[in-house]
Amino acid sequence: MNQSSDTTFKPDIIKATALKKEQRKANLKKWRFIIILIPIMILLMAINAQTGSANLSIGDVFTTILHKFFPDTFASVSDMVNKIIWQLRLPRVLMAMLAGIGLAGAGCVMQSSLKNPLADPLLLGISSSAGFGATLVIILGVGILSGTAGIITSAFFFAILVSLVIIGLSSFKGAKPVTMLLIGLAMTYLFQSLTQLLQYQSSAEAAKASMMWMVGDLSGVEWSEVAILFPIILVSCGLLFWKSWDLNILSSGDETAKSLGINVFRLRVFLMAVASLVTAAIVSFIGVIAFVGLVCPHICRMFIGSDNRFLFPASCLAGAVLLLCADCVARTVLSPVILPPGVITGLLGAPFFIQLVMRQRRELI
Amino acid sequence: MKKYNKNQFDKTIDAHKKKGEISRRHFLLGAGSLVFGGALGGGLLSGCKQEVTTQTVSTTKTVSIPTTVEVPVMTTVTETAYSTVTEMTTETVTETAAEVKTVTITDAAGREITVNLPVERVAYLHPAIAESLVIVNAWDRVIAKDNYTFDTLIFPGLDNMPVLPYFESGSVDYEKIIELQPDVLLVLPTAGGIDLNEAISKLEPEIPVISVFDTNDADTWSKGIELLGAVMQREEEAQAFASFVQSIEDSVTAKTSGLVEADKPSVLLKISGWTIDQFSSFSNEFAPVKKLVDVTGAVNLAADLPSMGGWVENIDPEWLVTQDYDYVLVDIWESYYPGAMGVGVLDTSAAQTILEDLTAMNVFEGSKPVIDGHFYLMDHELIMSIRYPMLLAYAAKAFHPELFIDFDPDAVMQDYLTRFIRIEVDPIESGLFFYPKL
Repeated sequence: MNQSSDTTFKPDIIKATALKKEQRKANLKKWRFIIILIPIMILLMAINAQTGSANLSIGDVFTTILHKFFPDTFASVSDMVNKIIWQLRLPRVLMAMLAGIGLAGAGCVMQSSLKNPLADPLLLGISSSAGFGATLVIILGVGILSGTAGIITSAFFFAILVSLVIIGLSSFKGAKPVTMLLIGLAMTYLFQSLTQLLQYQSSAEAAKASMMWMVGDLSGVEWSEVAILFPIILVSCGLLFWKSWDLNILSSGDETAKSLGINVFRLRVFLMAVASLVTAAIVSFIGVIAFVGLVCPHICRMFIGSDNRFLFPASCLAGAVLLLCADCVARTVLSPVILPPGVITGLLGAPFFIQLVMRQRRELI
Repeated sequence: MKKYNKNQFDKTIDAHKKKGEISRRHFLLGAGSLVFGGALGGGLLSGCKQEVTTQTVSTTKTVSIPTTVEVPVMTTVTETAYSTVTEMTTETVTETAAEVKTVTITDAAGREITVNLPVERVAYLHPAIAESLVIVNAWDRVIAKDNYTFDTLIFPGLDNMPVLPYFESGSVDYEKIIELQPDVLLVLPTAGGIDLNEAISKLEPEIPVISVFDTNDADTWSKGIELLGAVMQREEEAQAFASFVQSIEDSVTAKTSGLVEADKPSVLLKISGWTIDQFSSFSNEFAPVKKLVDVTGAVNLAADLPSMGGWVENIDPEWLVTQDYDYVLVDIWESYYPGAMGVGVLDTSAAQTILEDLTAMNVFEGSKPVIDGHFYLMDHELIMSIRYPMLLAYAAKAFHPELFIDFDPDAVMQDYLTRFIRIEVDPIESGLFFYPKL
């Protein structure tokens, strides 16, 4: 009896072991993809720190960076180089990295939780509402509600407001993905129209200022802004990564998730709230950087599949890589005039993405 | 003097409509009669064409010998960044026995326009034109203003004046203009997003559309005032202003023309941004800035930077850190810094705060202009309006104080405000145009 049952189960065990092996191999491949992205990102950060309008040598750049930590070992190159590296370049490089991580991470979560390949902060109205908030201050702002602080506060306020409205309204319908998406889309059009109305009635300069903000800008980033954004990105991405297994279950369908004991409504609201917070924080500081949130998760999905435990960190790193690349091009192509990095992300990412889509035959989600 | 007006019928209809005297039935009846009458009249006229022409010639010969007054305007051929050619023209004021005077001018867009005189009802679509009208002492003829003229000190009666909202995106309220029936509409061909061809097709010939000057070419500004002088029959005032401008330029160039390149300071012109850290400037492609540095004996730091029509967008701050420059002029625009500078600004605290914020920025901190105290704020009106000659005065004094020891730009501004704007304002006590004071 025992012998016969052993013979029955043996092929299954072998099969399971083989599957496990296969799985481990696939996971290894995914980890390899993520691990490759880390040095690429670091390399791009180094390149960005080294390139710019001021012609500085690699030695000067790294000596200046190291001088900050080991002043006895590494001598300061000059006050000017110190200013360029520590006050102008590094905050910008770090902001590009953080924004790339946050936007791509938010895009990945939005696409997976709403089960829609087009979902991203732009489509859900978060970026356009932040844009409206900024435009409102740029064009009509007076007193304390003016200047950089006013723009950041207003953009953040409207981005969060819209996120809450989307979550609140869709709650009536049980936070179904399609409801959230449609409300988000309506919000996008609503705030785009309001922004256009303001721009239409404003002076050419104010309209241009608003437009400049809408295309995203990393100029003038300061350490204080990096310091605010860093913990927000860290905690939010940590939370989203923590929920990545639940996100996998959610991706397989609401009914399946429910049968596995997941509170689908609560999970979706939580994921959307955190992703919106990340987006709102980033957009408030640097404006609307399109394409990163949409395209990076797709690029990664083509390489490593839809398992969010891998897809999420890979998307974050890919976002940082794309934005660092875009910023490097933006700062150097017409130097010393800086182009908006938000435009470059589209110019760089779109052809690459189209090529990948054309080569890819399987479904995007 | 009764003025010929092709829209008299429309006006009468409107007036009656307002009074409620014309019903739809009356209107249709009238319109039908007009069409019938027009057809009948047209047929008769075409049949008697030779006879009418002969009669006109005869009248001119026997009754009205035209009186021709020649007024010199637009004395140079000016090619602008927009390839507008303003040719020299002698405008001809013609007066007939029926007291219909006309003036023919060539405007800043190069169009030859004949305007019925006198021009009593003026509408305009740019704040720079408002000040130009004050200069030629014709503000009292303005019946409708643009939506960017706010200063009631300079422009009395603004509160009750109809507004012609034109938006920078190019939408002009033509309906309102036609309703107001001005004798002329004054516009700037290269500013304010106005589509000149559209304005002409919608308003002319009833309302002549005159391009006063080209904001991108400072050389056309004085000529624009002369053009206004001719149209408004204020030639003396216009000539006085032209002489005033020329005297400023002459007195500045007399001292700066001998400067060699090594004596010319390098200047960063920082254009107003919606936040303080926006680094935009003008290259020398923008004619007023090229003229500013040429006349005042300086070098534009952004002269050769990549630009669009002279506008240099978003300069990399780290490039600035590596540059060797002597002066910074920061454009302070009312829209971004309300109440900081301009006519009537008594309190310098707002300007001082802006100056402190700017000089404390990473990019400027410890720079030569900050250390040497060569960091100045200038009122936006100085660079983007008819007050440009005063900018030449202020900038020359700032760049070469040793050459202009006895030259007082505030006195020049005072002269301008009292003689041409006709307000008793002491710029030292009651206006802030250049800060810190020279």
